[in-house]
Amino acid sequence: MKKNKKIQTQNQDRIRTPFSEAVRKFKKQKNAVIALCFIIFLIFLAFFGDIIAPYKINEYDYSAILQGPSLRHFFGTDEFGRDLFSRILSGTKISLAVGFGAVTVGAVCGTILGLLAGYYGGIIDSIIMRICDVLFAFPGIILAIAIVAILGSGMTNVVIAVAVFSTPTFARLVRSRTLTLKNSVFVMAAKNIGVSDAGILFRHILPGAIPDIIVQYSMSFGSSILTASSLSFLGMGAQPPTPEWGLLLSNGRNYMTSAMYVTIFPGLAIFLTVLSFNLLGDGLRDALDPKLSE
Amino acid sequence: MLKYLLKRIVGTIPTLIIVVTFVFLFVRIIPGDPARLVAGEQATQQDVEAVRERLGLNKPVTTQYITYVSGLLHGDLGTSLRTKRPVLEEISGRFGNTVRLAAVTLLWSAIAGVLFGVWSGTHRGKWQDYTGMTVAVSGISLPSFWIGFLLIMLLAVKMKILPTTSSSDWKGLIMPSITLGLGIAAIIARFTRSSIVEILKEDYIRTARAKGIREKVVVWKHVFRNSMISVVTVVGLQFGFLLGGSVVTETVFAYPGLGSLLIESVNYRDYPAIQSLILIFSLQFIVINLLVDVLYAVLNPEIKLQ
Amino acid sequence: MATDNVLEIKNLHTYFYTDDGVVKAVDGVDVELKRGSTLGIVGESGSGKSVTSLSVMGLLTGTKGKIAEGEILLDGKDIVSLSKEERRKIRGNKISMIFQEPMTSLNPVMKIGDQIVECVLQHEKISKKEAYEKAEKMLTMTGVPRVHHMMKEYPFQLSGGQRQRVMIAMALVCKPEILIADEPTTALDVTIQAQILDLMNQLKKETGTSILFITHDLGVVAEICDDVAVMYCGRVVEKGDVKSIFYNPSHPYTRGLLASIPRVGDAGKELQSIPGNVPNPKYMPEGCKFAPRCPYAKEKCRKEEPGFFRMPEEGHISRCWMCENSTASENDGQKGGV
Repeated sequence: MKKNKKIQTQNQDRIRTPFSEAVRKFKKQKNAVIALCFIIFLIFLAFFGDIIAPYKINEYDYSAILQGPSLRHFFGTDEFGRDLFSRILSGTKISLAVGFGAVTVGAVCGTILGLLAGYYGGIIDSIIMRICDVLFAFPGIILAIAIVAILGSGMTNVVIAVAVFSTPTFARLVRSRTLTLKNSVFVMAAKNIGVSDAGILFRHILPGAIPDIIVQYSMSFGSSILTASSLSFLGMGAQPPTPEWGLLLSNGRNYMTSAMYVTIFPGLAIFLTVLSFNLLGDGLRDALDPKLSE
Repeated sequence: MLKYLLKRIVGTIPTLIIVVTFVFLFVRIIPGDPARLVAGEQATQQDVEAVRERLGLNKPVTTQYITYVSGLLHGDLGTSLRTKRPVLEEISGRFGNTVRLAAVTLLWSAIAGVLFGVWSGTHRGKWQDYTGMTVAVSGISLPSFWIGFLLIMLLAVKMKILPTTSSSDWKGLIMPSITLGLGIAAIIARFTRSSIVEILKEDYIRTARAKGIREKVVVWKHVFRNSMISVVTVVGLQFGFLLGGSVVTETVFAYPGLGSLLIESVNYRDYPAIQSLILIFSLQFIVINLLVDVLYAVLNPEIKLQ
Repeated sequence: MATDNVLEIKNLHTYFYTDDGVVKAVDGVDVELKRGSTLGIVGESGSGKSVTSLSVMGLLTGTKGKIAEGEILLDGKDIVSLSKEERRKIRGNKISMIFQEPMTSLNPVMKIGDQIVECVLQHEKISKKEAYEKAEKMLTMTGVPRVHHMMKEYPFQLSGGQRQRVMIAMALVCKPEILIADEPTTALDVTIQAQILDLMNQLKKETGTSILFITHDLGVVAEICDDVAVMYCGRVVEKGDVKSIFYNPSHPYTRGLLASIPRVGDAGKELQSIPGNVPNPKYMPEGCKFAPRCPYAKEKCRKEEPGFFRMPEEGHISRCWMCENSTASENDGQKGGV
């Protein structure tokens, strides 16, 4: 027996918690690390963009309308002579706020619904999953358009619309994880010692679903920004003169032949932001999914 | 298989009922007086009452519901407020265009996505995988309206090889189809890749290799066939994405389809039209997913032989 | 003494190049398979026995494993140095393999017949019809019922035992010289296990195929093998014919494995087991790899790794310091090999 113990300690590595293991795996993925740095930079811009911006976002200058990129105006100016660089900087906080608001609401609602459906099963499960099916039956953005058509245009309503259609994704994800965890030994054990349902759900099952939720959160963040800017582009989201990226781009289409950069830069901003969240999501999935490790 | 399909068809009935109910309630949950909304802001009280009478809004909700559903069954989708023509006529005039765009797009993006996915998946961890997946993740991150504009600027304005606004002939389909399909191809590529990677780990692939089968045959006969079972499901779900994307794409290119009709109707607050279009979009989605179930069953002998 | 060896593995080293460093899964293995006989390779999981078989098959592609050193001689010719394409032509034709998991080893979307026919057509230039007849004949030899019907069925319609018979038919349809069986009965019920072993013995006689039998179960070895090589931590620790190993096990690890087979009449007694686990490949002990678990380990065992010592029986060798003086043996040195 003594010998046995000796082998055990010999084999012990420096302590590897699931968390440190995930960090280690995440660090190995250059793309995801760069994406994370870019997102941190974006968050910084969201808070301080207005201070850094060389011009005020609504500073009209009719002597310099639709001017190409230059040292004075990095991204050029729009039809009112407003500095596009400053407007795009200022748009960062709108897009991030929309993504954050919509996905957080969707994730919280979806997680609770998924936990309830998976844990209690039966009629609760049927009702929740049927509602999810119906939400899935409306193709994403169409549902959002329908909701905006009911509630009226505006960013708040866009956030609500995007939150509604990201909810079922989280609900399904959490439900399937709950179903597997529900029958695991440690949940059975917790039940046997008399832990309450709420205790089991939030202390034993939810932590097991967290990796899935984190990955989905990051992926949904990207697609929500994309959807929200699409809605603004269609005229159903942000209204002028808000410097929302989709709206800036939509505005640029009137000057497509004479001033291409008015559409190029806002599009680039959307693309890079969404790309970062998607790359981060991919990186998180590879770092958190035990199935992928070899 | 018949039993499986029947089960699937029966399974969509509750969804259908809820969708129809939702669409029915749609106008009624708009804040304010629906009759006033339909009649317009400048309408007199008399006009509003006339509208209320015509739409049956003064009757109990259950009666309204029955009237609505029986109208649907007879192909009566109401009258457009914008054109004063039956909504069904408006929709059927544009339905073909959207279907054509969707079909062409789904075809090319599914083929491209699957090929890219197989290419990446079979070269896991090598430069091919890295390239393929970088392209794919960019593809899902691109705002489609931006791509649309870049294409117009490049192909129509600068190079002048394609018309700026699109008609429904093949030349007019090229740019909208690229715009719409990029993201879908990217999603299919990502999914195909991960499915291929999973299947390459399966024991039966090791068996196939142990038999001395050529690697090309292993990939296309053994890996590919099996991965398609799950990829088909994703392609079906992407159809929803495609319908949604068509709204943006059709607007960018002023393409005369259902998507641009929806936007026109929303801008005009043409509620009967919006209501019916949303219904049509979800019906298409439901039908496509039924077709996917059929395809799934055909590919999967375990279900086919049941 | 020139024996006719159909397969000789010489000083085989197969390493896995993982992100955490090199794992020496197979670290200097020498075994030989006599023509028409069955060699059992025995060991716990992690001993490197399966990696040895995959190295012989050339099925390490797609994993992080690579043959770092050594030769594998098929009929006296080295196959390690062959190109991928040449190795592929050997697989399923001259050397074939059956696996542990019959439930998942068949392609779920292909008919049984097609899966066997595929193998024939890959290696032989005959018509589809001839190949089909050949496949059906082979499947009949494995003793499955209603063969004609089964050829058109899918794997999910078959039981585990039936699937393993299909695997055997698939492996033997091209009349290979060597059949590698990697724990072919582990996943099956005990009664089915015995049937499959009988079938393999019978087909070995009928087809003259030599078998490399990988297992952790010494009970199975006794039933089917002529020679045995016991592996531990990527190397062979004892090797000899089946009688010497069972009647005169000299390595403490072999003794431990033998003692842990439950026997009738042992009821009530505590079941023997070897204490501890296979060491983590990253922390291989110095000296004899088994020393940390060995009840007889001495200071020397922990410092210096033994080579092979000859035992009294012909061809019986053991890698244990205790055997150093047990007979008038000669030390073959660190490298091992006989």
